[in-house]
Order: sequence, then structure tokens, then C-alpha cells
Amino acid sequence: MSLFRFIIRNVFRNKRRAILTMLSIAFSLFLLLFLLTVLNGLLNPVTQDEAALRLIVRRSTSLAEFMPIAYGDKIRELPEVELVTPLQWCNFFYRDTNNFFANFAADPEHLFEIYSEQKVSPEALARFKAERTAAISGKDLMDKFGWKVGDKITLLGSIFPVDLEFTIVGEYTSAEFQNSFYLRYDYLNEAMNKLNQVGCFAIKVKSKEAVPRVAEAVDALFRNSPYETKTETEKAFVLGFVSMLGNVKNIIASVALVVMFTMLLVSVSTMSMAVRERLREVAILRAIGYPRGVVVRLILGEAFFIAGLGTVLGIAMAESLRFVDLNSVSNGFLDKFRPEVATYALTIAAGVGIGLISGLVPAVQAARMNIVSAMRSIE
Amino acid sequence: MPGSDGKPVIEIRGLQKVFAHGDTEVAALENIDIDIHQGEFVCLMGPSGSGKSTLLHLIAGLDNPTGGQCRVLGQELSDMSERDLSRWRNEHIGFIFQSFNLIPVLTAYENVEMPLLLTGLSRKERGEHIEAALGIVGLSDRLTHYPRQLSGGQEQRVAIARALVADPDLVLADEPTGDLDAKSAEEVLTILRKLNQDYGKTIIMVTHDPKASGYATVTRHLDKGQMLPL
Ligand SMILES: Nc1ncnc2c1ncn2[C@@H]1O[C@H](COP(=O)(O)OP(=O)(O)OP(=O)(O)O)[C@@H](O)[C@H]1O
Ligand SMILES: [Mg+2]
Repeated sequence: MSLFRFIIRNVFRNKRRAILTMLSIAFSLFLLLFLLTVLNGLLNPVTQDEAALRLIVRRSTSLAEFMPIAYGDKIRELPEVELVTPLQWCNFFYRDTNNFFANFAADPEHLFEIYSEQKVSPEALARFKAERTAAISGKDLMDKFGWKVGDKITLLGSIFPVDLEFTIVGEYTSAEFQNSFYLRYDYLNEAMNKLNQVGCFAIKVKSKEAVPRVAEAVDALFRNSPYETKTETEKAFVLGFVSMLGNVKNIIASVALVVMFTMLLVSVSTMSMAVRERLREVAILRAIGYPRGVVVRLILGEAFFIAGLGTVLGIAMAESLRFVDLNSVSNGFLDKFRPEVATYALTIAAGVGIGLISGLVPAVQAARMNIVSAMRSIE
Repeated sequence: MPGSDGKPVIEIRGLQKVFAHGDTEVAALENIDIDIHQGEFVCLMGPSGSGKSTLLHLIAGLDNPTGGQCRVLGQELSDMSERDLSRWRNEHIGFIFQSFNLIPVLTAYENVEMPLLLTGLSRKERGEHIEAALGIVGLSDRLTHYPRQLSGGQEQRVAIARALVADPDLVLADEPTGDLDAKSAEEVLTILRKLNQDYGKTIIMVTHDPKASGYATVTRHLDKGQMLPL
């Protein structure tokens, strides 16, 4: 036998307790890893190189307000602007309101030049440009609803109180996100009796250096008009969108904190109980010559072993999410599960922290204990 | 055969232990003087609460006296640090308690091995020591048994094996037969006498059992914290 084997024996003294403790550490670290990954995804939305050239124009007051569609032409005339499309969030549903997905009305001429990471076949693009009721759907969305090219589908209106029929003329593919649906702005506008209003424009700028200049020029153009604008990069825009979701970030961060704190309390009290039950044995060890340091190491080792197994298990549970299609489970809210190295490091650090603190508390107790009274207490 | 005429291995002068109990004080030991020599088998008797266990704990360095000197194996214990005391106990003292001596999750073999894990001995050397110790107490056939699979007497014999496996100079036993039936008690006492006579171990045994004193070479009585004259 070795002291390590002795630690293992101590761990499994009470098998059920050991396993339950490991499982609860595993679950909470799994949750931590998962929440941090979601948080990361929200704070750092995936942006393409193409995205660096893109600007989003919206009303300075609120995302829900509109501006005249004619602004698009004025923006296009600015010197360093290459392409412009209206980009209207439509909030259409398919069949019922549980089937949430992103759908936008845009200009078929330029949409897929501006969003060039979304690949469309030339035939599909030609039909999209030619037919007013044409629509192009992301590949994943096609699969989800079982749509085929050529299908005629009806989407149900919400912010725009009309139900519209579309012909799916093709699909787009992308390395990142294949869950959006694009229809033509002119079709929507006609259905809305020539409202001639739009919530956003997407701009492709000629060069990276010009991006801040163009953003400033657009906003300057409409300053003091009844429809002042706010122009920002796509990333900033997405972040603004996230913060609109009711400060998800703080909620997620506090849930993660609460989970870790609870776990810490649980494991400290479990380890303390485990050690308190055998204070007499600790006294015997001391009587046969075990120094305080060795006793402390035995208890710390036990706590680390449990926390370590829990951590490994928790990370394994999180890893198994790679085989789950989070995107469709979460209706496109979450993307693929790809935690960053720093997130793993933080999770492991949390596991080590749990081991250290849950071991240190009873270890210090055991080291401080008076050998003689511990022996007397049970005799 | 070692006699009781060597140089004292334990020299106790004016030893005192007072426990503070809130604002009242209990003097567990008062002004104890005693010499114990190499090869003696001392039986320490006295009524409950007379301070027997306390004296044994002080001799093992498990507790600190509140006064007087306690020199054991040539060391003044109050001069030693906790760390050195632990090491010293591991090397020189074997301790046997009345009950619950063994670690329940370890086999007899592993329980006996515990003191040796702190030494530099190899696995093989440890094995030789353990088998020899379990042989002396007559339990060579119980190596892989867990404490709950042993009788009270057998458990106590494993505890004796653990106390002697590191070849200590001094064996301290606090009512080792207190929980045992007459037959097991006799076996345990016989083993202790063998350790004393055949292996020359100095033994101090606390007991309430008058018959047990028949196995010892010296019997001393404590009463209300005082050592009665021989
Ligand atoms: N840790 C302690 N705190 C307070 N008082 C103590 C402590 N340890 C011992 N005492 C007191 O010291 C006295 C001697 O106790 P000790 O255990 O040495 O007696 P004993 O002779 O071993 O008795 P027994 O035969 O019942 O084991 C008792 O009055 C006891 O209450
Ligand atoms: Mg006692």
C-alpha cells in the first residue's frame, strides 16, 4: 500500500457520498463551462473578414423604428460606399409562432454580394432577382422544415400584419450560420401598400480604412432630419442586439457564480463531514507518528481526488455537446459548441479551487485538533 | 533476559498536568516522580479518573505537561517540536488503545503497514516487517481480513502488531484488554509478556484488571493524580 492508495480507500469509504459529490461537482462544472461558452458566443459574435467591411444603419432612437427607403439611394451616393441593401427584420413565422427563425427582406440585386460568405448558386440567384415572390433559405433551415427548391410556402405575419406566399428558389450555404431566410423587400413593401419604410440598411464599404469615415458620413447625412441614424459595424450592432435581450450577460454570469458558490459550500460541508466522522482515526494516525503535514496532505489529496474526477467528468459531459445539434435545439440562438481554451482553463481552475478549499477547511480542522481530546471523545 | 536494573528509559520528575475546565481547574496529575528502566513491564493501576491515561499521553508526547520534567529515551519532550515529536513517536513508540484501534477501510496487513509508510523502507522490506509482526501475534493467516471480519481479540492483536512493526523501544498500552473477554484478554497479555521477555521491549500498560498485573514486572498505583509509593 502507499499513502495514495490510502487516500483512494478514504475517498470510497462512503461510496454513495463520494459518487454524489463527484456528480454534483461534474454537473456544476459542466454548467459553468456551458454558460461561459454561451456568454462568450454572445459577447464575441462570429464575424467574417467580409463583416469587417460591413456597416449597419439604423435609427438612432430605437431598432424598432423606421426610416424612408429612399435613404438607401442617398447612402449609395457617398464616395466610399460600394453597395447598399435594405435589411428588414420581418419576424414571420412558419405555421405557428413556435417556429421562430431569422427572416429578412432585402434587395435581391446586392444582398449576396454584401453577404458574400453566404454562397448561392447562380441559377438560384438569377431566379431571386427575377421573381418577386422568390425567397432563399439557409440550408439548415431547409432541412429543419423539410423544404425543397420549388416549394411554395406561406409565412405568417406578426409585425407586418400580412401572410405572404413565397417560392423557395434556392438555398445558401455558409461556414457559420445557415438558418436565415431572405425575401425581397419590394414584395414586402407592396404587400404593405407601399409603406416605403425600412428598419436597417446594410452597407458594404470599399475598404477597411474607410469604414469609420463612412459610418460618420452616413450619420452626418441624416443629422437634423426627422429620421436620424446610427451607423455601426456589424459586430457592434449584434452586441447592441444582445444587450437588448435584457442583459443576458449579467444574468448568465450571476447564474454561473451562484452555481460555483453553491458547489463550494456543498463540497466543503461534505468533506468536513467525512473528516469529522473519523477524527478518532486521525488521532490514531497522529499517535502512531503521522505529522500534521501528512494528515493535511491525506485530506487535501482526498478532496482533490474527488474534485478532480468531478472536473474530468464535467468536461466530458460538456464535450458530448459537440455531438448535439445545439443550433436546432435552441432555434438558432446557440451556435456550435466550441469552448475557448480560456474557458477550459477557467473550468479546470474552478475544479481545482473546489478541491483546494473543500480539502483545506477540514484539513486545517484535523491538524489543529487536540489528539488527546479526540481520542477521549469516543472512548 | 533483560532485567530492571539498566539506566532509566523514562525519568519523570515533579510532573504535573492541570486541565482548565472553564474557571475550575482539574489536576489530573500532581507532582509525579517515577523512573522506568529498560526491559521493565510496568502495570499502571488506579481508579477511574486517577490520571493513568493522562500519564501515558504525556510519556508519548501526545499532550504537554503543565509542569515538571518528562525525559523519555533520553529526550526532554517539552524541548521537541510537534514535527520532531511525530517522527520520534513513529520511530520509538508503539501505542495500543482500548478499542477502535484499527482503520476500518484497511486490511490487517495494511493497518500494520501504516507506521512503515512514513519510513524509507521498500515495499519488500515493509512486507517482511509486517509478516514478522503479524507472526508474533499469531495472525499470519489473517493478512487480508478487514477489521470487521476479525474478533475483538484479533483486532487487538493486529493493533499490537502495528505497535511493534517499527521495532519501537517503548510500547504504551491503555487498557488493551478493557473490551475483551477473559480468554482474549489472556492471549493479549501473553503476547505483551512475550514482547517484554523475548524481545526486550519496555512496556507500560494501564489496566483495571488485577489479574493483568501478574504479567508485569512492576505494578504502580495512581490515585487522584498522585503516584502511590511502591
Ligand atoms: N482533555 C481533558 N479536559 C479536561 N479534563 C480532562 C481531560 N483529560 C482528562 N481530564 C481529567 O483528568 C482526570 C484524569 O483523567 P484520565 O483520563 O487520565 O483518567 P484515567 O485514570 O485514565 O481514567 P479511566 O480509568 O476512566 O480511563 C479526570 O478527572 C479527567 O476528567
Ligand atoms: Mg484512561
